[in-house]
Amino acid sequence: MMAFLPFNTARSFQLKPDELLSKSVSDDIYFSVDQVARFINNEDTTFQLIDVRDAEQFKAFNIPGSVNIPFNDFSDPKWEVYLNQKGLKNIYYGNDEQTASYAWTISTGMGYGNNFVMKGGLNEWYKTVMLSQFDGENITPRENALFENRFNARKTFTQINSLPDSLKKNYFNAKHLQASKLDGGCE
Amino acid sequence: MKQLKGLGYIFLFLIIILVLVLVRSYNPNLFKQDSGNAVEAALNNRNSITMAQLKALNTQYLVINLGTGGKFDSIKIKNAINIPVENLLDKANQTILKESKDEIILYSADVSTTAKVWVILNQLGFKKLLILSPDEQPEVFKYKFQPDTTVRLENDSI
Repeated sequence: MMAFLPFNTARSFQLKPDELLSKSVSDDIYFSVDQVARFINNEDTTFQLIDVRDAEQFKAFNIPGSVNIPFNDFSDPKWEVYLNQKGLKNIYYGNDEQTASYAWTISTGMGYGNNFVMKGGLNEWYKTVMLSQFDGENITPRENALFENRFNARKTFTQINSLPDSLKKNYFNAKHLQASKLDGGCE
Repeated sequence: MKQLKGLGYIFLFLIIILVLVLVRSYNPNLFKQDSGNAVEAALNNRNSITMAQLKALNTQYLVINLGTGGKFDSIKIKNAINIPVENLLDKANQTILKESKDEIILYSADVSTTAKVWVILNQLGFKKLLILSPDEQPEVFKYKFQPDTTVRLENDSI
């Protein structure tokens, strides 16, 4: 029956318009930059960060562990392996929220599940995680945990983005080895 | 007689296919566009318009404020129609959008909401759609990342 339709069902949205609209107005589709920082510090393997900026911007810097799917190339079927999966949470980000929101709507509309947007994009990431500092005199345990989370994510971000491309993939292995040495473990 | 009966079954099958195709093709509650159209139309934010560009626009346009109550109403535009995002697909609102011959400009204080609505309407077949961008240059990184040139994978800094 699909072959007789005057449009390509494989490339059109699978969700109904009201269903997609209802999902898109929910606040549950966002992760804050602090939540993303925690995922990185914990090396959480249940999420996948998807950077929708172009390849040049991605190469200059990106959030550690990200996959680059430039929005300009988003409809290429080769990305389906990343977009259409059930076990991972896909978190889209760009410099702001506009392009990531396009990507979220298209992938959700296509029927792929577990899609999220990093609230505020890289501009918010930089402002909150990379530039934040504590100016007060007394720090509460909650504030301490928050700043430690940001500090660790900032350190990982800066270190991994300062390495040459060829060494980036070895970063986490080197980090684990270092931690193991500090704990008195074997190499 | 047997051949006639066989032809009857084929004819019946084709009729059923035709009915199903027509039902799906004319069902307003389905998306029928190629999702690649949305990507193409939004490339490099060419579907965005700034406030300065809007003021300089010579053609007729219809501005839709997607705000709900006070939540999104930080920008005030004269003659804008308010269609709260939750009610976007109501029949009356769909009629307003369909009957507009002019460029439709969408805005809300939350650009993420406007972007999602833009994709939904694009995929419903609306072509003359623009997003009113709060920034002069949308999607630009506003900071400068300085790599740490002292970082080495093999030393103790990691």
